[in-house]
Amino acid sequence: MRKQEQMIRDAFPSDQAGEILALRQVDREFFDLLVRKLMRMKIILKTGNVKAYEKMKKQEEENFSCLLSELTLKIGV
Amino acid sequence: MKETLDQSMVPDQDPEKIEEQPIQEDLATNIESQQEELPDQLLLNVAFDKIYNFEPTTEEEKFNKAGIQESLEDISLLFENDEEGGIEDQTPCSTLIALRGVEEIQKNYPLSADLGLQELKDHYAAEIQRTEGFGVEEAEDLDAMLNESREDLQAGMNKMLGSKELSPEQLAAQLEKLEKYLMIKEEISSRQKQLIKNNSGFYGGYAEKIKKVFEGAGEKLDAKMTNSRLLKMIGEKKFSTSFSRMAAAGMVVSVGVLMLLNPAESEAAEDETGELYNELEVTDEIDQAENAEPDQEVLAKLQESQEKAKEFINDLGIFSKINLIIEIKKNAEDIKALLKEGSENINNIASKNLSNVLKIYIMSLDKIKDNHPEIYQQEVEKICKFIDTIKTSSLSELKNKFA
Repeated sequence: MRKQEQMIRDAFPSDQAGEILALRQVDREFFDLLVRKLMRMKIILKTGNVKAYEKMKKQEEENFSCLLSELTLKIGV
Repeated sequence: MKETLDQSMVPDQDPEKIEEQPIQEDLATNIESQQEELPDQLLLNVAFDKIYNFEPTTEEEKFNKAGIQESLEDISLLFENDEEGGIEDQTPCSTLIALRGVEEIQKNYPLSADLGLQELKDHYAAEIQRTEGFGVEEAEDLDAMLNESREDLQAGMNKMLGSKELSPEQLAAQLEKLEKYLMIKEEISSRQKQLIKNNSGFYGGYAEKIKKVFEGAGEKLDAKMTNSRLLKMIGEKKFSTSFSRMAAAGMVVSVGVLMLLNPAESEAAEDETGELYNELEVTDEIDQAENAEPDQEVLAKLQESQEKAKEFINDLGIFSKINLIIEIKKNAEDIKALLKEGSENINNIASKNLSNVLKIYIMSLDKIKDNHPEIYQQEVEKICKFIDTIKTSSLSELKNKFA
């Protein structure tokens, strides 16, 4: 898994890379999910796969509405 | 696991569930129907079947399996029918994107199992060869030579084709292939830039919304702090749904993904508007200058020298033209600087062909430099614009301009 670690270190400023790598210890599933998402986005953008991007964006839009609702509830706006 | 499964990555099938399911009976029975499918779909299905049936034994294999499934799904979209039920146009672009996609899978998700990815890649390469008449590897080699070994391009091409000399027809055929390939690559490159731009806008929009939620609760966060705050909440398992976690991961990843790609690419997309603006400004100045009343005698001389230069370019073979373009691109900044200062050292920096063309212009320009500084300036601007055009145009566009 050194490749994953290097990927995170290459992509994020050192303090944030540290925070993300620390997540691996706390929540391995989420860490894997995050790295996979990073790799999927990289491949989509690198190959210029517009269709895959549109699909990903549609899925993300649905996810974001959930995130915003949860955030609003959790931090009590 | 079920709760936190990456829903968007595997939209139709849960990999964990897939492993539990009896292998789709269609696997065997579908073989017949698959014979009738297009090879694109057939080979993709083979890869899908193999990866679904692959049983990971380590965390790394599990990770790679999920990644391969996601990326194969993304590739399959390139060959699916559109929503209206019509057959999606399978452009050479799609095939090259698919080919590059498989290469990325092989590079990023190494798996010891044979998934038939090499066959899939070979099929895409053959498809490009069949429809476009060029092989991707051959075109890549030519492209690399154009970029890296300008002076030896002719020799390199001869060597590559196994003959001592290329006839003009052979050379033209090779360049034709290269040109087609470069056009497809350019199309993909422009899609990439657009995607990177859209991606920044998409996540940027949500970053703003998230910031507003935090601001509503009295927290002032910049983009970087938003990321840290989200990471902290993720670490504390504050998000209860897999969707929220996914979105939080998306936010965090969006910061990194542009850096992971070539940062210059993302900057290039940002710079496009600025470049266009500058170009419009220059054009405007030239239009104004052209509307002024210049000295007819001087203009006639300039026109004569421009005609000579044009003739010179027209007389060049296609190979020399490409070399000329490459040299101009290579020396563009130096040439522009020299033109603005004067022409004394032009021969020291430019190649023979390039200096021949530019000398014709500059000889005339030198004569009028002192007496008609405005016209001199106008002409210099024109040449600079010409150089800019060369720098930003594709090979095929330039060929049309020179033709």
